[in-house]
Amino acid sequence: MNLKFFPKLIVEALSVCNVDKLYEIRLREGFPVIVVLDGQKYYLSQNGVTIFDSQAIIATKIHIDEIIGNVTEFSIYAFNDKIKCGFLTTPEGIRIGLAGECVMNKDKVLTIKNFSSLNIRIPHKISGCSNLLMTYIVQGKKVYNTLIISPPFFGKTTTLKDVSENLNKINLGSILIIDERGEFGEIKGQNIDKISFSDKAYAFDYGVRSLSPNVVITDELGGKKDWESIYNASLSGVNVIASCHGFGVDDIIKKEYFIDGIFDRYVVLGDKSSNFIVYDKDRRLL
Amino acid sequence: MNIISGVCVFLLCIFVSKFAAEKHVKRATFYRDMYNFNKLLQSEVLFAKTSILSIVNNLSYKTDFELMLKEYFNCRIIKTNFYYLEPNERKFVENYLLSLGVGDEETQLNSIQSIAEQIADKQKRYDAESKKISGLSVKLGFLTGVTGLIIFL
Repeated sequence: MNLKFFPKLIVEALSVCNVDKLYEIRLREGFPVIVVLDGQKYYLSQNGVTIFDSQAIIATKIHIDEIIGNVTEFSIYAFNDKIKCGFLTTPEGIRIGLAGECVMNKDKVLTIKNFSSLNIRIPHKISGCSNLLMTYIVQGKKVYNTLIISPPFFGKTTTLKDVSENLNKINLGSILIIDERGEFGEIKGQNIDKISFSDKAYAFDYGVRSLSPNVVITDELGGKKDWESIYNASLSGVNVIASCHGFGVDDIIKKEYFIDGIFDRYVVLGDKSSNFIVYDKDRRLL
Repeated sequence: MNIISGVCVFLLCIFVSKFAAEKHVKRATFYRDMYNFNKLLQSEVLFAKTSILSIVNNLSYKTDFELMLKEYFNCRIIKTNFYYLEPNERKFVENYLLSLGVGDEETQLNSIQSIAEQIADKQKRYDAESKKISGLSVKLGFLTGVTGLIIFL
């Protein structure tokens, strides 16, 4: 995992940690740097991690600006569309959530400036984590339209990545990944096409027409346009596997833009990706 | 002995004239590179939104201007202390570097376009100056050298 976009001080501190178990790094200007290692929260110190905030590295504006500069390759204009959405993504799929001052023009966000905190999510590839789930999503040659539900940090993207790889292996046709935030960085395969950094509505429209996928996989359904795109795709003879934030199916059906009848399977993830509950299209437990 | 001294004076005059001309040639080359880079940047920002680092990393790093960009975008060091640039020109180049990559697409394009005219003016002026002065300087050096040679002979 390339973590060279961090300031030298933090790179040196992280080199002492087990990066394979590193899930999250938080920098808040003027406060200790927090890391989540193997599910536990620690402070980052020059000697690795510590439970004492007095020994922690204090995040400064210079650290935050350096990270932004390195990730944007000192070219804000090239990344402003992502900045406006509140995140940046590195080529490895590391997602950096941004907090700062939004610059508005009437009701439109022009950019975010004076960044004050960053939430850096380190993606992990857990090969085989969706093997059991696959028995619910695929039966014979049929792929069920599936919605994976969980709160943030429960492994929706990791599961979707593994589902993509499993579908690629079992050769059920073309898979189109619509990767709005660039988080599927390393996922590739002979059956996989990927559209990155595009909003879902556009990517669904042109992807379904020009790439003729059998299955479309996408992360984090949000607003009305996302749901409409999924609905239209499902009417076009394309199977959809998507994810959405929520504690359970009840949360999803209460969402303003929820469209009933699209999904055949609702998968609610537990705090471990091997731990899940599956419901059918009528939301009955399977 | 006189012949050797005369030839030495002749060569010295040629060398000095070449050195005097070089300053103008290098300055003209510097602004020509700056002009070309600015044009490339404008099209990259407008169409492909390529990051400046990617553009810079594709340069050949053969000229002072390209090496300066490499140093700035890879190490964040501003090095404009080229002997052929006047202090106000160094400041101009520093400000140019500092204006790169700091705004959104529209701001960056406005900044590139507003400075493009100034760069084009300088490039034209120094190109013409370089052609005129370097030609003149070499001729003058040659004539002075020949005069020196004749005096010694």
